[in-house]
Amino acid sequence: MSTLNVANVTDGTTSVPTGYVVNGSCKVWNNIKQTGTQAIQDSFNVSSIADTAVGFTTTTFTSAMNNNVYSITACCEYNSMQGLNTALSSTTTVGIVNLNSAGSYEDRDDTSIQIMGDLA
Amino acid sequence: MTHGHLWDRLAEAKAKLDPVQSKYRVLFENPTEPDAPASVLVPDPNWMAAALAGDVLPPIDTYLRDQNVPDGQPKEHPYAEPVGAMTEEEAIEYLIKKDISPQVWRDYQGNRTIMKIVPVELIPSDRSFRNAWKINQTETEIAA
Repeated sequence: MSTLNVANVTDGTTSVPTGYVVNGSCKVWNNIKQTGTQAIQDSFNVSSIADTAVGFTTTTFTSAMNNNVYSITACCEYNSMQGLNTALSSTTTVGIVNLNSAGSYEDRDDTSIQIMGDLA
Repeated sequence: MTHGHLWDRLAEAKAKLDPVQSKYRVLFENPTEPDAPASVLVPDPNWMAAALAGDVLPPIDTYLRDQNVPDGQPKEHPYAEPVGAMTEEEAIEYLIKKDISPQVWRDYQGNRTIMKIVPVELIPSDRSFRNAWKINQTETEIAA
């Protein structure tokens, strides 16, 4: 594997420090199907998911985050609310739970997360 | 020659390797929460492709040592020299050690079977009673 060691990246007009690119990259993402037999539809920097109950999925990272105050964006199919299961979130895992509009836990497809932050 | 950061190797692997859907799932129960339903571990297809190809993932021992490193301190696994290719069965064993608590796979002393590796076909697709799933304890019944 080759490595470019440069301080800035430019398109000929605008120049930005490479730190912007590194820090601005999504460090972990996945798209999960919760209905039926849970499955990962696509991902990056994920080693596994754990189906722990109806509506609940825990994602485990291959390359850990530096701390557990990273930023998470999550979404899923319509007519749902989504929450972070903080009891299962750490530098290596994040737990997501889906609820329907009545407030009951429910499995949803296209359950997705994106994580920004610093890698360990 | 440097092997760089694990995250960089994962990016390179995702660009080069086709994802591999594992034929296995790992059922496990948390011994500290006996009333909780059984969990199902699903290997990531891109991770499995990297494990089978080799030269991407770090030694499992580095992950286990890093569990004792406080947040914010340098971790060993991102910069460790990658291991070679694994079989799918070796990859599942690696994943159990990495992603399931040692309370389940190493420390449990009870009589219940709290972890089983099963073919994916044995995982029920009907989730009507999902929150009541437990691992069957008989030799002939291995489904959740």
